Amino acid sequence: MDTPTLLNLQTVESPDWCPGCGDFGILMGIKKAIVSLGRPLHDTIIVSGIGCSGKLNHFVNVYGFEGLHGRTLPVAQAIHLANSKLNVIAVGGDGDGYGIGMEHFMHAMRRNMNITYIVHNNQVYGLTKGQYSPTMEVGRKTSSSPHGTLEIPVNPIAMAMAAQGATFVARGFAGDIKHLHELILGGINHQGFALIDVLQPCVTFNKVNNYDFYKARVYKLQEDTTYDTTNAAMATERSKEWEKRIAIGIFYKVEQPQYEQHISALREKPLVEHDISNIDISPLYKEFM
Amino acid sequence: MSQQSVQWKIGGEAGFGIMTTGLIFSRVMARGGLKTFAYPEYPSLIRGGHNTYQVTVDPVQSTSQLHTVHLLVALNRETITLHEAELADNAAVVYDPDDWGTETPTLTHATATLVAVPLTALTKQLDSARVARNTVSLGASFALLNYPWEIVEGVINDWFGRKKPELAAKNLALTKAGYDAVIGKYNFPHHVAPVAGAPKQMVISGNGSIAMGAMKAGMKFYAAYPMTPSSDILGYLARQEDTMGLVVKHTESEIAAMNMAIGAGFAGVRAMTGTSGGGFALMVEALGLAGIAEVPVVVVMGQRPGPSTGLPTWTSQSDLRFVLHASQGEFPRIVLAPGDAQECFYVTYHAFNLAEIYQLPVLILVDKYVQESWQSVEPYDTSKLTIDRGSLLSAEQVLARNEKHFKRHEHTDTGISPRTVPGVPGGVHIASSYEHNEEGFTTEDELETTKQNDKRMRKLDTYLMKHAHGPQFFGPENADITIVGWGSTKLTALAAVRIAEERGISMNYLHFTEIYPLPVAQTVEAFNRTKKTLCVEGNKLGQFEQWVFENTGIRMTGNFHKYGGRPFYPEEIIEQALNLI
Repeated sequence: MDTPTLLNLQTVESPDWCPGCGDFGILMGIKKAIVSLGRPLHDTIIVSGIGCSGKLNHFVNVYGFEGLHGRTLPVAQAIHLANSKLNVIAVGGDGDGYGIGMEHFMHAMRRNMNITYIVHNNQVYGLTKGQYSPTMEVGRKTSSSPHGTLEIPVNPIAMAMAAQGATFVARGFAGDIKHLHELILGGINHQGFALIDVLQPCVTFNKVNNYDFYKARVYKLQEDTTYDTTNAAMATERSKEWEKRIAIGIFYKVEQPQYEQHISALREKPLVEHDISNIDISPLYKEFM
Repeated sequence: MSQQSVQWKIGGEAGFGIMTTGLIFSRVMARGGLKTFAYPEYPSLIRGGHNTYQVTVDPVQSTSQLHTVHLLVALNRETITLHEAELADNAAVVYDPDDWGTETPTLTHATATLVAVPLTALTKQLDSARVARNTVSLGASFALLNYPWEIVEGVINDWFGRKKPELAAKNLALTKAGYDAVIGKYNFPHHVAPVAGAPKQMVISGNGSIAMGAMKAGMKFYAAYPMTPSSDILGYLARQEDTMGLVVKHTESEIAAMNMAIGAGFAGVRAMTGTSGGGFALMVEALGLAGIAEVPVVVVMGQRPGPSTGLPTWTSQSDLRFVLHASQGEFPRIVLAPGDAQECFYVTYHAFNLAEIYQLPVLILVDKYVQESWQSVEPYDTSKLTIDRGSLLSAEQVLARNEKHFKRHEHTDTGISPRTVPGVPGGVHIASSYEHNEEGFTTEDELETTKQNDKRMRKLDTYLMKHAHGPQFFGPENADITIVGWGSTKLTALAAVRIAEERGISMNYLHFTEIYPLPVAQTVEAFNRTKKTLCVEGNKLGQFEQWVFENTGIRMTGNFHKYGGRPFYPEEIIEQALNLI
C-alpha cells in the first residue's frame, strides 16, 4: 500500500491554483517522478516555502514541510543531513528562491548535497497578486512596477553555473509534463544537487509569458546532438537564449563528491539513527584539566 | 572582598597572548585544588587595543571577579595607568623595564610594590619571540604568590606537551626564568597555597559547558553563524565533529542556521543553533515556525550590549524582553537562563529533553559574562541524566494507530501530540507554517484555529506542572536583604552573599533560571520568604523586575542596574543592598 501510485499520492486537500496554472503541470511531473522512482511514500519528503508553489506539498501524500518564504533550501539541506536515506525534494517559486532566498540558493549549490530543487518560475508573485519577481524582463508593468521594471532579470541557469558547485542544472516547461517528469526523475536519481528551473505560465498575472509564448520557443537540448552537458561555457551560453528560442532539458550534468561524503559522522549511518541514549562525554574532560 | 580571595590580573595589547596566559594561570591554580573564576575583557579587534584577563583565586569559592587586584602583570605601560586604582593593600605590579627605557614607573598607591622583571631580556636570552614575555611573567607571578613550582611545571608540560614536546621544554624554561628572577626577593604578603586532597577540576567556560551539555544530550546537529559571545560554541563543537559524531554547519547566515536547526529537529535529530542579539533578530521569523509547526529546537542566545552592533565583546542582560516576545503571533516557548558553568551544562542538557517533550523552541538565554568566563568545576556528574524524547513514537506505535492521516497535531489534554519523523511508515504528514488541523492540513476555520492555539499553549501548563522547579535561594534563610537576579547575576550575587556573611550582613540571593513561562506559584511562595528585595540586572529598564511584577504583582524594594557593558561586582551589590536598610 505504501508503493506510490497516482491514486495514493492524492491527499484530502485539493489544489486551489487558478484553472490552467502551470503549477498543475509541475505537480503532475513530480507525482509521476515519485511513481517512477517507486520508493515507498514515507521515504520522500517535499519541502516548500511560501507562495503558490509552497502549497504543492499539501497535494502529495508524502512527508511534507511547508516552511517560511525563501527558506526552503536550509530546511531541505538539514533534513538531508539528518537523514540521508530520504528522498528530499525542495520546491519553491522564483520570488522564494531567486529573490528572498537567493543566499541559500547560491550556497546550497556550492555544497552539492544530494537533493532536488524544483523552482516554479513564472516571473511574478502570484499569491500577492502579480508584483514582478526577480526573473521578470526589463520594462514590464506590474502592480509594483507601474512604470515598468528597471532591473536586469535573474538568469537562474547562468547563476547556477556561476556558483560553480551545481552538478545537475536543468530547465523544464510546465506545459510538457512528459519531459518534465523525466527531468525530475533524472534530478532525483542524480547524486548531488539538482536544480530544475521550470517555466511555469501564470495565467492570471503574466499575460506575456503564457503557454503560447513558450510553445513557440522551447526546444529540447537533448535533441541537439552537438550539445555537451559537461561543457559549462556552453550551458551558460545556451541559458541566455530567450527572445527567439528557449532551451529546455539538462544544461549541465557532472559527477562531483557530495558534501555529506566528507562528514565522518554520516559514513556509517544517517544521523537520525545514531544512538543517543547514553553518550560518554568523559573523554572530553581531559582537555580542560 | 572575601579575605581569602587573591586576585591576579594581566593586561596588554591584543596579540600579547593574554588569553592563553590567563587560562594557564587558572589551570595551575585549579590543579592545586583552588577555586578559580577568570574573565577576559577585550575590544572588538584582532591586534592592539587593551586586553585584560582577571583571575580570582580562593580556597573555598570563586564565582566572580572582584574590584581589588593583588597582583597586576603589566605587559605594557598602559596597564599600570588603567588599573592602578584597582590595587589592593600591599599589592604588587610586575612590569618589564624594557617597556620604560630609562624611566621607571611610579605608583601613587601607598602600599603597592613595583616588581621589575626583565621579561624582554629573559625572552631574548632563551631565544624566544617577544610574545613569550607572557610566559615569563607567569613564572614571576607564581613566585610572588609563593606557589609550588611542581604544579606549575605539571600544567605547563601538559598544556604545551599536547601540541609538541619541545614546545613544553621551551615554555618551561621561560616560566622558570620568570620564577627564578623573583622567588625570595620580595616580601609580597598575598600567598596562595594549594588545597590538599581537593577533587580534580576542569577549568571551563559557560560556552564549553553548553557545548558539553548539548553533546551529552545527544545533540547531533549544530548550525550557526559566528557571533560574539557565542562563536566559541561553534568552534568547540566543530573540533568534536569526528570524535563525537556530529554534523556542525557554519551556515551562510543566521536565517539559514535557524532554519537548518529546525529542519534537522523535524527530521528527528536533536539540533541546536547559537547566536547573539543581532543574529537572533534574523532567526525570529523561524522561531515562530518552530512554534506553530511544533518542532523541537534549542537556541543559545548570548547577550551583549545593543542596540544594533552595540558593544560586541562586552556583557549585557538587555535582551530578555526581546527573547520573551520575539516573532509574530502567540506560541509556546521555554526560556531558561543558566547562571554559571554548571548550570550551563545541566540546563542545556535538560533543554533538549524539554524541547522534545513539549515540541517547541527552548531558548538558553546567557550573556558574555557567563559564556566567556572560565570557572573551575569538578567534572560533570552525568550519572543521573536520562534522555526523554517525549511522545516521539516508534515505527510500531505509529502503525498501531492505523490512521489514514497521522494526527500530528492531535488535540490532547496535555497539549502534547504524537510525533513521528520522515521515513517512518504510516506517519506521513505535513509540518506547516500555516495554521493547520490535527493532520497538518491548512485550515482557516475559526474553531480549529482557536483549538490549535489552545492546544499549543496548553503545553506550557503541562510544563509548569511537571518540569518547573521555581527560583532557588542561596545563603541564609530569612535574610534581611534578598538579592534577586537571573542568569549570570548569580555569579556575582553568590560572591556578594559570601562577603556579606563575612561582614555580618544578613543577605541571601534568590536566583531565577526559569524565565518563561515564569513559575508563578513558586515565585510568589519564594517572595513570601523575603524581607527587602534588590533586583540586580544588566539592563536599564529593569526588564526582569517588570516581568515578575507583570506575572505576580510583586514589587521589589529596590533595584540596581548596569548597562555599560561591564559585569556587576559583589562590592557594589552589597553597597546598593545596604542602601535599602
